[in-house]
Order: sequence, then C-alpha cells, then structure tokens
Amino acid sequence: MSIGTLRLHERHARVTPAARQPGAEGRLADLRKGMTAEIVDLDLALGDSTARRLFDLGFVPGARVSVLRKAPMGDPVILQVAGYEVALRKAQTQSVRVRRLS
Amino acid sequence: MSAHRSTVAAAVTGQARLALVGSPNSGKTTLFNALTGLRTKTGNYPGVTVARYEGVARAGGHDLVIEDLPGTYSLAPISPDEQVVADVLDPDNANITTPDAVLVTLDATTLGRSLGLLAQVLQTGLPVCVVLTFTDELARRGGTLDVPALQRALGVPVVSVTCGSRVDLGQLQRLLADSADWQRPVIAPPTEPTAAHAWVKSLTLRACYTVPVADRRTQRIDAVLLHPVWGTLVFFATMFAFFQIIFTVAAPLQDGVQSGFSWLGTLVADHVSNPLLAGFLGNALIGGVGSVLTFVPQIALLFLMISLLEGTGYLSRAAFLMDRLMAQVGLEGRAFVALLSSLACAIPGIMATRSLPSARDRFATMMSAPLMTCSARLTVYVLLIGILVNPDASVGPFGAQGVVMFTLYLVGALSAMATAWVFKAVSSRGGPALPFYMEMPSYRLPRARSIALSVWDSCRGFLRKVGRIILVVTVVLWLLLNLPMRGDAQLRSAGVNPADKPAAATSYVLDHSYAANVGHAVEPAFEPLGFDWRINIGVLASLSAREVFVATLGQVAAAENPDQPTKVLQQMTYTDGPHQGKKLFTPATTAALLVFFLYALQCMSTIGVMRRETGGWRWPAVAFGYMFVLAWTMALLTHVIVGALT
Amino acid sequence: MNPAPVPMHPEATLDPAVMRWIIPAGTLPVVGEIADVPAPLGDLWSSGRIASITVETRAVLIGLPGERSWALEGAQVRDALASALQEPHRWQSVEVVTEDDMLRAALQDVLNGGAGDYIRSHGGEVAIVAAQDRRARVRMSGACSHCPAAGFTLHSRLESELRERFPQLVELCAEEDPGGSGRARRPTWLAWHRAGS
Repeated sequence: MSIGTLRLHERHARVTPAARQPGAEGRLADLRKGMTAEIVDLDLALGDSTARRLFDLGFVPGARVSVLRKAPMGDPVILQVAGYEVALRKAQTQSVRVRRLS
Repeated sequence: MSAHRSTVAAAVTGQARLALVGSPNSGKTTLFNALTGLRTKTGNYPGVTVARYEGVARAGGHDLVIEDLPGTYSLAPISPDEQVVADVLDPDNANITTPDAVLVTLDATTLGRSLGLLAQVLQTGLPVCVVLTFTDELARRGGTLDVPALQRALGVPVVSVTCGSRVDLGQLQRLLADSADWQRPVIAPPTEPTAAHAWVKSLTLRACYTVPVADRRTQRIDAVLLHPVWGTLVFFATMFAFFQIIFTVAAPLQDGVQSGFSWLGTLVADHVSNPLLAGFLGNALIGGVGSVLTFVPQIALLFLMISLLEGTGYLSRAAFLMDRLMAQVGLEGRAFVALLSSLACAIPGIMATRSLPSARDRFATMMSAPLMTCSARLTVYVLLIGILVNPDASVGPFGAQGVVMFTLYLVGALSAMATAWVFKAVSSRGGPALPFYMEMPSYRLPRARSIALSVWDSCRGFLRKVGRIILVVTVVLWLLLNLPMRGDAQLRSAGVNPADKPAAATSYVLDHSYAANVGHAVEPAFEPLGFDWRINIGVLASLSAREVFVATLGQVAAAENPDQPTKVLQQMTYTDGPHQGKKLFTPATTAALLVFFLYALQCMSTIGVMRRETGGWRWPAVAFGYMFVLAWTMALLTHVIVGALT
Repeated sequence: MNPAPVPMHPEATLDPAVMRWIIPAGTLPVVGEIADVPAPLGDLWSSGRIASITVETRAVLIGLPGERSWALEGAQVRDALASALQEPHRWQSVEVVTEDDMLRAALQDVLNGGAGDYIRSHGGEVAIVAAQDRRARVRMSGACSHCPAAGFTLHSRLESELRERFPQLVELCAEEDPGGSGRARRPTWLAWHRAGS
C-alpha cells in the first residue's frame, strides 16, 4: 500500500463538529419527501469506511441534501446531494445528522 | 507534426499504457469503446475476482494500450472492483503494472462530487488528463462551466468530449499520443476531507460551475416510473415485455438458425457416403454444436435489452424498486438485475454481479443465479412436461402443462432467493458492513454504437467459450455412444440384421457402447430416483449443457421410432434390473427428473464463467457440489412423494 | 471550534517560485503587499521559508525563496495559509488600504479576468478612470465605442462581476471615448506589482 492509499484510509470524515446554529436538528431518515436539510455530521455508528464513502459520495458537513422520493415501502430513499441523485437505505440515512432548512 | 510524431515514436519503447478511471455512469465505458472499437480483450487481475478490460487505441500514429478500470467513487476501496482501481493506480504495488498515465472521466453534471475522485487520483502523482463528459447535457439543463478556467485551476489537460463527436475524439487522441508531456499540478490536492472539500468548492467557483438542482426531464419521468403505484405497474409491464421479447421475438430467429443447420444436416446426409463420417458431421457437429448455436439470437436479444435498460438509466430504477424485496434475503437491488438476467441464461447473470460492491453479495448472487430457470432448462422442461402431463388436462381456466411450467419457474426463483439468503447468512460472519448506495443517473439515450459493441462482445464471448466446450463434449459423447465399432458380421451374430433394420442396429450399438457401460456404472447412484442407464447417459451428458439431454434422449428414441420420439419415450420400459419391462417414465420418475434439472448445475459454460469471474475453481466447485446434492435430494423426495400419490 | 475552511486552490504563475492561491472575493479585508499575517504562515515567513506575500482581490500570491520548490513546500504552505485565512482581520498590508484601494483592486481584477479578455478579443480597450466612494468609472475605447453591445451587455457584465468582488459598490459608470486613441493612465500599481513578482 502506498503512502497515498494509507492516507486515504486514515481519513476521518467526521472532523467537523458543526457550529451549533439555530434550526431543528434531526436525522436524515426522519425527513419527509420534498424536505431539504443541511448535513451537520455523520454518526459514529456508521463505521469509518461507510462514513468515508458517504463523504466521497457528497455527504459532506455543510452540504445540502433533499429527499426526492421514497420507494414503495419507504426504504430506500432517493436523495439529491452535490448536484446528483443517489439512493440510500434507512440504515445509512439514520446515521446522518441534519438541520432542516425547509 | 510528422517530425514530432517520429521523436515520440523513438522515445517510446514498448506501448504506452493508459488507465481509464471514473465513477459509474460517467461515460467511461462509452469513451473506452469509442477509443478502442473492437480491439479489446478481457482477462483477470492476478488473484482477484474482477475481470480486466483492455483495448488498443490508435493515437498520433502509434498504438497504445488503454485499460478500462471498474467504475469507482473513491480510491479508498470497499469492494473488490474498487480495490483493483486503487491497486492499479498505486505505484508501490508490485503485483500490477502501474499505467504510464491516467485518463479521468468527469461527468460535467456531477462535478461537485466527481472532483473529489479526481483529487484522489491526482494524489498518486501519475500524469492525468481529464475528460469532461455530458457537457451537452449540462448545457441543456442550463448549467455553466468554464472549461479553460477549470484546466488552469487543475493544472492538467482538460478535454471536453461530447458523446459521438469525432472532433472531440480527435482532439483527445492527439493528446493521448504524448502523455509524457502533459502538464502536471505542482501541488497535489489535499487529502484531509474538509480541506479536500474546500479545494473542490474553490475549483467549482473558479470555473463558474453551476448546475440546476435537478434535471426536469428526469424528474418528470421519475414522477411516473418511481411512483408507488404507477412505477410498480410499469415495472411489472417492463419485466413482462422483457420475457415476451426473449421468448417470442427470439423464437423465429432461433427457428431460422435451426432450419439452417437442418439444411446443412440433409446436405451432409446426401453427400457424405462414409456412415461414420456422416454420423460424426450430422449428429456431433451439426446436431450438437448447432443446437447450442440456436441460442445466439436469445443471447443477443437479452444483451440488447439489458444494455438498453442500463443505458437509459431504467435498470437503476428497477433495482431501486426491488431493493426492499431483495433486502428480505440480505441482498440489495442490484442483485435483482443479476437474477433477472439469469432467467435467460446464468452466464450474463453471473457477469452482472460485477456491479455489486460487496464481495459477499456477489458470491451469494453468483451461487443462486444458476437456480433461476434459464432458457436451456426450458427445452428439457418442454420435453418432460409433455411426457408427464396430458396436454388436454387443465387446472381451473389454465392448461395443466402451463401451470406445471409456471410452478417450475416459481420454485426455481424461490430456491435462488433461499440459497442467496443461506450463503449470505453463512458468509456474513466477519467483514465490515457495507453501505448500500446507488446513483440514479439522469435518463439518457444510449449510443447505438455502445449497445452494438456490448451485444457483439457478449455474442463473441458466447460463441468462443461455449462453442469450444460444447464442441468437445459433443464429440466425446458421440464417440462414447458409437464405440466400440461393430462390423456387420458382429451385428448379425448378435441377431441384428443391419440391412433390414438399420434402427435396430443403431440401438444395438447404443446398448453396447462405452456410454452404456458408463450409464450402467452410475446406476446405483441414480437408481433411487428411478433413472435407468439411458437417462443416466442423458443426465451425465447434460452436465456439459442441459440441452444435450434432449438431444441424447432424442437420439436413443429415434433409434426405435424416428417419427414419434415423444411417444417412444412415454412407452419406454426398463431393459433390465428389478423393474424390467415396467414403464420407465412413470409420473414419479419424470417429476424426479424435472426436479433434478431444476436444481442441478448442468452447464459447463456457467462453471467456466464462474471460474473466470471468481478467479479460481473454489466457487464453481462449491456451486456444483451444493446444487448436485440439492438436486439429488429433492429429486429423491419428489420420487417418493409422487410415487406414493400415484 | 473548527469553522468551515475557506475554499482555495493553487494555480501556477509564469514565475515557478510564485504560486497564486485562489480564494473567494471578500475573504480578506486587505490588498497589496502584506506586512503581517497570523501564525503559522507568519512563522514560515519570518523564518525565511516564504519570500513574499501579496494579496489580490481573489488570490493570495506567495513567493518562495529561490532554493525552495513548491513541490516540496506546497502542502505545508497550504495548511498554513488555510489557518491564516481563518483570521482575516489579522492580515495587515504594508500601506494603509482604504476602501477606494479595495474598489480599484477589485475593478482591476475584473478587467484582468474574463470580461476584460472578452473586450480585448473584440478589439476594444477599457481603462479605469476613477474609483472613489464606492463608485467606479471606466473608459471604453477602440471597437467598443461604436458597438451597441458596449452600452448594455458589457456594462451589466462588468458591473455584476465588480459587485461580486466589491459588494458595497454603488454604481459603475462607463464613458465612451469616440476618438479611440485615448490611452488611459499607466497600469495601476497592482498590475505593475504582479508583473514584477
């Protein structure tokens, strides 16, 4: 493994304890269809590799995420983040802390 | 230019190697096809389960090798696919040749995300050229991007390539010719996540990058296709159309191929006088190999439709709709696509597992895919159901034969799901839990060229790999069925007159062939299922390909009455043993045989593809073993239960 | 407390010793040659590992001493710069920077950028006449003077680009120079400084 790869592995995606600002904080999983929120941070429960991957997918603290639609049984959901659409399961959205914007 | 070209040619010893890196749906494979055309080959990476795609591209007057790496969102790998990308781009990894330069495809409509991957590639220090794709879509959606500013900010060459544009491609090819001269960034982007994010943000600001929140067209289509009610209806309609096309549209094409081979057969019968040679050409080559070639239209159609569904972006939606259902057995939406393909043939199904990020999901799906009722089983089912069920019988408003057929498909699918669940449960110990994430790309019209190449590639692969196996097995089988050779005198001394009754002579040769010896030898194993030595030959021969069973039984039956082989089979009796004289194809035996075929992995091609995809014999051996045990046990149960009921 | 980092990336200049670090307009309250910056960037500077620091409207130009290379120092300077940008009020320029200076620098940055390129590519010239009390005045000459686009499109583009860099802007006036020969003043000290660095 090169130094570069090692460095990628050692990244911690949760380094930003977001500045507490007003606004209802909650979980991404609790948002209803059509809602938009700002990502606060990623939960420790996700595990390092999953947190890193979500970060690489655009789930960055401060980024805006909106719920576009939900699958027939409510899981998974299609989210809009970083200018594209991605489906995540509840297991992941449960561990993303957000602050609701609308 | 010519002077420049010659200096480059002199400087380069051996072909330059370029790797193609990009996230899934970034137009990477389309670009690979456009650059390499038909000059591609597939292989395996040492020690891993990922297929390797390489092609030769012509640039600036000489050839260079381009490697299409699997799509990835990050160089911090969480799947075998992504591990390969990280290993290939790692200059310190001695096992894999590091490319001389890297082409990174960036989807202009998802720049906010894909620049993060580019940052990681730039950190490797390899020469990088950025290929911007879908800039036309960005413009259509009203987004902006200043490409020269992006190039200045990145410090590496940036080329915008619109799908199918020869001008853009020419520009890229000129650039590819001298990758050693590419501008390189003086300072690599930061690795620390928040700093990397700030870097990406700064670049998008600098390049005046804006992209509308969502693609209106995609939003409108998704409003229907992902609607809880309409979406589900459209999904089932699409699946129905999928099978309709595979089974109905392919039929006349298959008939065409078949009649072509029959015509060849009559040609051989008419013009080849040597009976041995005529038998070999007619039965082994044309009958055996030809019967497999009739599946080419089906394979081509299947790949055509899968690449259409995938190219337009619907496959991701189908996987999204099915995810909840697949979650019940521990798999995810994408595994559904693999199982769906397996209904036509397990080979494309197994190949489709490459898109699964989790190795455990991949193996579980690969192990269960061969249980889905494939088109080869269909031929066997049609023959055996014809023996088992009266064509006039009905269950309610439906024909009984159709109900039995549907039941077999259903049992196959349920068994596949159950197997996936078992394998997932067994392998779930250890290893990190992987997140489920699936990009929903904008709906796009796929390029005809890409689809044609994908269909051609799969047909070529099928013809090459499958054709070879079937050819060898058919020839060996034909030899076993016809050897040792019997002279006329030998036949007469056995009480058979070859001049009067050629069928009886064939039957005698068959009954006393090496194959018959083999069939008798395995009798103890299959006797509890009610199989006699002739079925055993068929079953053993069908280990190469299920269709061979039909051909073998047909050959055996045709020896007695060439005109009505089904009737012969129905009236066939045991020739020896404790049941001598009794009917062979009793409901119990036929049902057992059907169930045996439902579960057994009788397909050399599947085993071959499994070996190729998993990089070893371990998984194909596991699959063959568990499916054989399952087939034998279930067939025994069926034999006992149906025997008790009738 | 670890606030969100300032978006930034390096761009090479013609001088290999000087790197232009692009930052959003309005990040720093100063322009021109810098007298003092917060640690650890200040430490690098005082220890001689950095030769010069100059601020433009949307960039920080950092020069290395001749014997050092960006390939080796880049990552460390970047991290130092990133933390220095968290404390914009602690940056101090050599000369006292007035709001007029900020406006003039912002206007010069606009003219050096895409809008200026566009005008020059059409055979026009544009020069700063005045920048005072949140009002700016430019003179267009050459092909611009009789181009109907100059009046509206160009003016609105210049003004919006200037407002991005200098939000307090009240108005931007563009006067036409029908003679076309009117050479505006010499390049401002900022442009001269960039050429020298």
